Amino acid sequence: MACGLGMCYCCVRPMRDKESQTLTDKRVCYDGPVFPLHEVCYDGF
Amino acid sequence: MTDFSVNINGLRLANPVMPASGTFAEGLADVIDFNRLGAFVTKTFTLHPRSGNPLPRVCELDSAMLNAIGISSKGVEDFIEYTLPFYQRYAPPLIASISAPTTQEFATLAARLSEVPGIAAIEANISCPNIEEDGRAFAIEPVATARVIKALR
Repeated sequence: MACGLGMCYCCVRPMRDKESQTLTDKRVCYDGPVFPLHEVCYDGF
Repeated sequence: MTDFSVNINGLRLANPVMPASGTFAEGLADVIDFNRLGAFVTKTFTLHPRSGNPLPRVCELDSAMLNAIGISSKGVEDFIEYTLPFYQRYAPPLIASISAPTTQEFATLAARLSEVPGIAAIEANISCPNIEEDGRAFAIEPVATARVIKALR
């Protein structure tokens, strides 16, 4: 995290939408830091 | 009470405090009173959604940090539907910071925004790559800069 306020977009991670299965960048500091397990995507998944 | 108001080509600000693009967004709304600002300048957005640079985008140094976000944007329609209503709750005028890879796209985006109430001015982010000039930033070339400004007007 850089700003910690959801403004700099340094901490984004791709998260998977449960319905559409598309990936959307979410801010860990502002949209999280806790996410549902089904949203969290890692390289290779 | 001292009058700090300024007039920028017809745009009146209650005071000259106009924060840099994207530095006052929803994350700060609970921390300070946004109505004390002279104006808002949004985080730069584009006509179409774009993901920005791949991760990681930030690097920690001994006494500083570097970041290269790459203009992550959800596009103008998302801005109008979701971001604009947030700013409309506050009194300071809203300045929309926009970017585009071509002069024509700057013009298209400005035309779309001119249809939308609640945007007082446009900031042209011309430090982005110009794909019609081998990716050199618009701002590097005076002629390219002038072309963008003319198209915006």
